[in-house]
This record gives sequence, C-alpha cells and structure tokens, in this order.
Amino acid sequence: MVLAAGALELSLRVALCATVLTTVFGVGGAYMLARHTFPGSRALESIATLPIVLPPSVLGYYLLVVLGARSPIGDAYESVFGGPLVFTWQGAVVAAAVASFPFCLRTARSAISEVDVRYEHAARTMGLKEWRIAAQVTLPLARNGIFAGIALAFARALGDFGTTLLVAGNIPGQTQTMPIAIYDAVQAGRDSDALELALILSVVALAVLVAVSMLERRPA
Amino acid sequence: MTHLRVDIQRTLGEFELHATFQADRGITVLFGPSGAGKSMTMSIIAGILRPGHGQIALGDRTLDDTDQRLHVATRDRRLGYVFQDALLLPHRTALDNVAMAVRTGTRSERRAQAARLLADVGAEDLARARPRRLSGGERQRVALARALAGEPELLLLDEPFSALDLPTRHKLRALVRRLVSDNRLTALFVTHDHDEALELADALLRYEPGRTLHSAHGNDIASALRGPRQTETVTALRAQCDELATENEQLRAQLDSRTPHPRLSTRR
Repeated sequence: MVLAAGALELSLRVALCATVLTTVFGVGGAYMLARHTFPGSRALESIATLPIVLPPSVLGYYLLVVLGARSPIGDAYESVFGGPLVFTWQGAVVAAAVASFPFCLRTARSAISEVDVRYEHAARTMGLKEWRIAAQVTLPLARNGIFAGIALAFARALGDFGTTLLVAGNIPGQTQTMPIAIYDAVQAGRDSDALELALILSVVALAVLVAVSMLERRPA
Repeated sequence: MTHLRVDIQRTLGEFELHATFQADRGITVLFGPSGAGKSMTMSIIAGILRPGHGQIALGDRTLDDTDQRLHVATRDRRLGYVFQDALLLPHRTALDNVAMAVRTGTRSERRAQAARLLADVGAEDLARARPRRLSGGERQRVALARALAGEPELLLLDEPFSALDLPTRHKLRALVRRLVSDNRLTALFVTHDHDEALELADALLRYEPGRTLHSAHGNDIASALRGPRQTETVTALRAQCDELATENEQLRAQLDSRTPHPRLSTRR
C-alpha cells in the first residue's frame, strides 16, 4: 500500500508536469500547423508524430543520448541546475512529455482545422488582432478537441513505461512511476501489489476515456 | 460624391472576375445570378481575398493597389460585414459579440456602447442570449449591431436576409435603410432577389457571370433589374409584333383588291 501511494503520487506529479509541457507545445504547435503553412511544415508534423510509431525503448534511447550528461543539452542542464537531468523525476517528466506530445498535437490540430475559417474572417472585419482571434475565436471553438487531446496526452504520460525507464531508470521513490512499479512487483512475485497498481491505472484510463467521449459529443 | 471606387480582377480556378464600379453613400445593390462573383467582390473589398490585379479606394484611402503592392489588412479597413449566416461567435453572448467589435474605450464603456447598438437594432432583450438560442432574424439584428460597432465607413451585406421568412425580411430591410441613412454609410448589399433589390437600391450594379455589367440609378433601376436578356426578348417580341401587323395589313389589302367570291359577297 505504501508502495502504491508513493508510486501514485510520483506518477501523478510526473504526468501533470508532462501534461503542462505537452499542452503549451502541443496546442501551440497544433495552431501553427493548422493555420499556417510554411516550408517544411509537413516534415515537421511528421517528425513531431514520430513518438507514436517509434518503439518506446528507441525513443528513450534517443532521449538518453540527447539529454545525457555527456551531451550539450545535458551539460547545459547540469551547469544551470547543479545535477544531471537523466535518472531524476524531472527526466521522467521530459520522457513522458515527449512520448505523449503527439497525441495532444494531432487531436488538437484536427480540432483546430475543423473550425470554420469564416469565423476568423468575421473576427478580422471586427478589427481583432491575430493573437486575439487565436485566443478568443479559434481556440475556444476548438476547445472540445483540444481538451480531448490534453486528456489523451495525460493518460499516455501516466502510463508511459519504456521511454521513462530508459531516461529515468527504476529508482523506488524517485523515478519508479506506477507502470514501472507494476513491472517491479511482478518480477519480485508481489502479485497483490501489481494488481492494486494495475487497477488504479485502469480506473484512471477509463475515466479519461469517458471524459474524451463526453467532450467529443459536447457542442462547440 | 463617389465614396468607394473598385476596379479589380481575380482568377479562381476557371472563374474569372472583372468588377469595375463606383458607389456613393446610400445602398448599392449588387444584383445577379448565383456564381456571378458578387460575394467574391465583397471578400476582395473586405481584404479577405486579395485582388489579382486592380485598385480599391474608400474615400481618400487606398485599400488595395496591386501596382504599388499595397494591401490594407482587413482589420484596418474600418468596414462592417454582415454574412448570410450571421457568423456570430457561438461561445459568446449577443452582447459580447457586439462588444468585441467596439474598438475604443474601457471594457465597461465598450459593453455600454454594445448595449446601445443592440437597442438601436431592436435587440436589447437579446443581450445575454447565446446565438444558438436566437432566431435567424434575431441573429441578423445582432450581426447588424456588430457590423456597426467599429464605426465603419463601409457596410458590406452579403445576402443577409436570404434565409429568412418574408415578414422578417421586410422588417430588416427597413432597419438596414434606416441604419444606412442615420450613419451616412456607404453600403453594398448582395442579393439575387428582385423585390429586395427594388426595395433597397439607391443604385444598382448588375452582374453577369464573372463581370459587372451595368449600373443604374433612380428611375433606371427597375429597367436595369429586368436585365439585358429580358430587354432583348421584349425588343425582339415587339419587332415580331410589328412584322405580323404589317403582314396582316398587306394580306387585308390583297384580299380587298381581289374579285370577291360570289357566295361570300355581301355587296350584291
């Protein structure tokens, strides 16, 4: 039970922080891709979607190489924060964010693309600046799809196993999120712990699914 | 005084638009069949579409001049646009929709101005309603208030009442007339409804597919509405009538000069 509570607290902290990152970059990126075409925008979208199709361990390995202590980014992080990024809970946040980002991006992008551009034309004739049109017209009209995307990304971040394991390791109380704790419990033959964790994650996943389907049926 | 000058060309796929006209204060009706390019003209004047070639000037301001690569952004054109399906923001109340378009003042001043505008179009009771709760006519009233909120010099109305029932249309036409005259606006009104054109037009601009054909003022509006094709038909029919009458007379003359048939003759 103590194990479950610790893993749940850590998992929620990691998933919520990852979801904040995902929301900022995912929704911002979705708006850019849906409303502006620029050279390389299609290639950028494909690369951003890559984490969906890449095996989690491959993604984790790449992140480990890019963020590790010997990499420029890892080095910069260490000189600013005084410690490495990999094998910390903050590293788990980055892993979960990268793995879940495309779910938010794709769902939000398709919701924004479906907003009738004539509302934006009307807003321009009303004298609104482009940032106000995005904030007060386009994004509110796409909000159901955007919230659905954020919910999916949260569920994905909460359930991430392979990427997190490679980037953050399996340190109980520090980087051992719930999916990793389940693996650990099964390996050690602690079946009741595994069952308890699995049920908690299943309930969360089910709640997200219900929320997403309710959002999709709600009028804009 | 000419207020709006338009001389534009634009190609979109197979369709080619040439529109050349001037409009004074008052209502200029753009009349013609669907697909003639009336709405496209409106979009170009609003700056939503760019002209392929040409100029648009409003008063002493140039809005578009392709030779000088000049294009004023839609939001700086100071125009009001009423769309066929209103396009009120569904997630905002009627009052919010109008207040968002008021350009100056604090938040409370903008809302007060929006309330005045709603009262002016007879929609003061609808201030707190969301657009989906409004009838088509009510939506267009709110859309009119919103279009006037930016104190525009030019009002564009693109078939605003075509989806409404006749009594509502009559009321809203009278409202548009009053608003245009009270605010001394130049208004372009797109319609393909003959009666609507006749009721509203101070000037009329007739469209044939892809081009402006004919503009008319005052007493010429009614005949311009009949259009060149109808005028041609009438002229042709008149000529045919004249021909038949001449033929008739000739036959009668021939008949008279002939020796009468004994049995039909009444003279003997």
